[in-house]
Amino acid sequence: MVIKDAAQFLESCTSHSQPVILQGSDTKAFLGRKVDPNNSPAEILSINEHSGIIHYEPTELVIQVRSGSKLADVTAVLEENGQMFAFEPANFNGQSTIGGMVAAGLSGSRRPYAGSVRDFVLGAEMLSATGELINFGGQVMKNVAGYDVSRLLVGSLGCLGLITNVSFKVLPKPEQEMTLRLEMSRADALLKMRELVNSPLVSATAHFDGQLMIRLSGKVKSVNDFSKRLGGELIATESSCWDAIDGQSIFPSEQKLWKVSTAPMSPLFLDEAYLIDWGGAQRWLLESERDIWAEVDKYSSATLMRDSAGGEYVHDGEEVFQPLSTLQKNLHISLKTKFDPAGILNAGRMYSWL
Amino acid sequence: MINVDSQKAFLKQLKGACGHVIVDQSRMKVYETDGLTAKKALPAYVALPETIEEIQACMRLCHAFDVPVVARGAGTGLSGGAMPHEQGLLLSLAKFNRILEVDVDNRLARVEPGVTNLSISDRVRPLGLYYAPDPSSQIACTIGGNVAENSGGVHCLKYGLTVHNVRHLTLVSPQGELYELGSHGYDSAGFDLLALLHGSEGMLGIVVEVTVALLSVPEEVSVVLAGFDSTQEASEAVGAIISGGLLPAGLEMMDRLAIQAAEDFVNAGYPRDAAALLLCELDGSAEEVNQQLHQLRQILTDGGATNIKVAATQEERHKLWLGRKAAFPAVGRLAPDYYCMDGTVPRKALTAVLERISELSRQFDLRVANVFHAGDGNLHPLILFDANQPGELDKAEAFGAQILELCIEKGGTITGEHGVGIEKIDQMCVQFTSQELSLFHGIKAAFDATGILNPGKAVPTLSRCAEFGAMHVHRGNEKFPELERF
Repeated sequence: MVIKDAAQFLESCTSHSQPVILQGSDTKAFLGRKVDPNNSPAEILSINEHSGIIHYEPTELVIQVRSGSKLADVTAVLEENGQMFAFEPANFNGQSTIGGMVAAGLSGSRRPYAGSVRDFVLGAEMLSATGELINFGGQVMKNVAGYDVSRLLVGSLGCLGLITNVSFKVLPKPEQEMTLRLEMSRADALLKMRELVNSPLVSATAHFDGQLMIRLSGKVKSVNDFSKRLGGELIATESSCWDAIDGQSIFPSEQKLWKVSTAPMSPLFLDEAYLIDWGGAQRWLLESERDIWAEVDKYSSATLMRDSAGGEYVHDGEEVFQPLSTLQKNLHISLKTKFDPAGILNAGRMYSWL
Repeated sequence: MINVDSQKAFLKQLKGACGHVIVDQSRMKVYETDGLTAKKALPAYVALPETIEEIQACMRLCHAFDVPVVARGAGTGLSGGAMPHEQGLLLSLAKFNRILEVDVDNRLARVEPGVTNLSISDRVRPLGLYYAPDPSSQIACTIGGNVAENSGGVHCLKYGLTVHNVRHLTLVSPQGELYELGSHGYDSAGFDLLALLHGSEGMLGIVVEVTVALLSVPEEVSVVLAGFDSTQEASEAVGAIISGGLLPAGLEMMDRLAIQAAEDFVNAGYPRDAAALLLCELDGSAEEVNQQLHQLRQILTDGGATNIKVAATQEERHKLWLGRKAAFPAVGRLAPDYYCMDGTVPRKALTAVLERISELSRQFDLRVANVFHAGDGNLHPLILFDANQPGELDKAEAFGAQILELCIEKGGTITGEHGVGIEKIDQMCVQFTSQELSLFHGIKAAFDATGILNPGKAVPTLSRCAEFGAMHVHRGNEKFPELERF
């Protein structure tokens, strides 16, 4: 569907209060709730055909991409030029789109050391729920004209509008990467992570199954020298462990999977976590019984990343994301109303009440 | 609120709500302007609350009486964002100047909004840590103001803007309610309102507490100065450095007028005969810095640098940066007044934009000095003028407006880090369409339904744009610019 058709479609849906599901390749159906319009069944609007790189100048470290583009295709082009998305997005089933990547806002293993999806978004174009094509931010590194709508769209799960293209800052790929494995207890691993946060060469850390995994990135000589100092065992297939974490395939599929975001050295679920990564700031739990949200402090948040059935959407009626305060909830509802007056876009995907 | 009785009632209650209220005009005078001194107004009231409860009480009162509120930190902003409202309350956060907690384990500092930017780094440096964003005004500007403007600085090329370095905010809503955004981790639930608040110029809420991320002081730092015979060569070297895969901590450029002014002022050892100079800071492990230094020298030499100086010691580095940091006051000595602009363009457009600015300089017969963040294309042309000469201020403003429109034309933006405030409000009509501006008004209304926070700033009304006569089609495009591509 081209943009003009999508615009007309959305405009008509808003005027008829027709619910719409916005999606790319639907590779992240596990994230968030099933879209549950109250009245009539939702129509699916896919952005997949709207693909291609609009503008890429490696010397500017900027790429502008249509949202239906496959992440894999864009990554390949960046790689040809020795560059990368530094937030290391996971490519679910190999089919993820750029629009979905932004709407879900999931960053990968490099996040604590390089930044998140929203940190690298410079600008975005979107179709509003009423079919207007609007543009925020741009292709420059610094821009404080107007409210930062392009960053607001990151992680908005299609609740605010249809993202049509996005401009990103990209970075040079490191000359050399290697992953080391060190046998270590959870407590020691956390201390090691704290120590390594000082090192500009560390680009990923995770601890599970009694092993601390550390990825080093940088100039060949620096990485080699540093790896000798660190010790441990070099892992041959260096990317697989990080891809498996970011793609969540490393976790057993038969249990509920929770992701808790917290301060890196927080004691929260430290020992119970199946895996901790992001320098300690992310804890993955396999847990079916406990009320995780109730145990999370106000500086942390928990997300139910997968249902116990290992399937796609969590059951209707159940929330998936950390409950918000009343005031925050009201702000979300007011914002949603301004962006999507008829409430047709991905209703209930983020929260049952949104 | 118009009638005298309700004004009296408001003032009485305000004095009850907040221990320190000023209504004496002569004492309010210090608040009449921020760093954009050309725009002045006296507020109706000034309050200097000392507790969050006092801020909440002030906001409840202003909300009830429909009195506009302008929040103010140190007043160093350069776009008039903190210019008072004549019928409104100027809410100074100057008394919120404590660092509440330094969490070394998690590398976080929880601070009050009136804490100065530099004092955070000063406090944590003995622990081997620092706060990365470093606007030039860092000795005076406050962290609350940094959030409102999403401030950058010399080191944001590598370490990001304020939005990249703040984890959590506590805010007071226009109705006086307290709420929090963000977390101490790297994620939080819901829409990214934390990002939305950055650069919102006091329009959405009052920031009352900020948790910033701290970084480790790098093992090795090296600063390189390179002189060039033309601004074009210097601009091209900037592109070559970035595309060569180097990621400097800072990459700054100064032109001849700025170099000479800085030399006269602080004697930093800059090449007086150069048409332009670059200052490039590299940081990281000793090994990485050495390798990068080697590569940088090569790029600069290939790019025609006439003069390369590497500062290795702390004192030498300090001296090289001193000239850059003192450049604004140094240029200030060249003329009675200067007008500082803040557009951003793609790096590849630097040469063309600098050329056009010097053409405009001849056309307007006003001198311009350029001192700017070249690495991220953020220009700061300083237009020299004399406000006492009739018509010169208008001429300087007209010149500035043309520079901003030039930035938009080159695919850039009217403000990289100083904000829109009152200064660039008309140029917002050029950069955004009416649909986009309407959405901004919608966002504003979601946070501040009655519009009491900083009214008249940051986002122009559609009628103002109609009056300005510049409601352009966005970036010269039609509504569906990419249709032919399908």
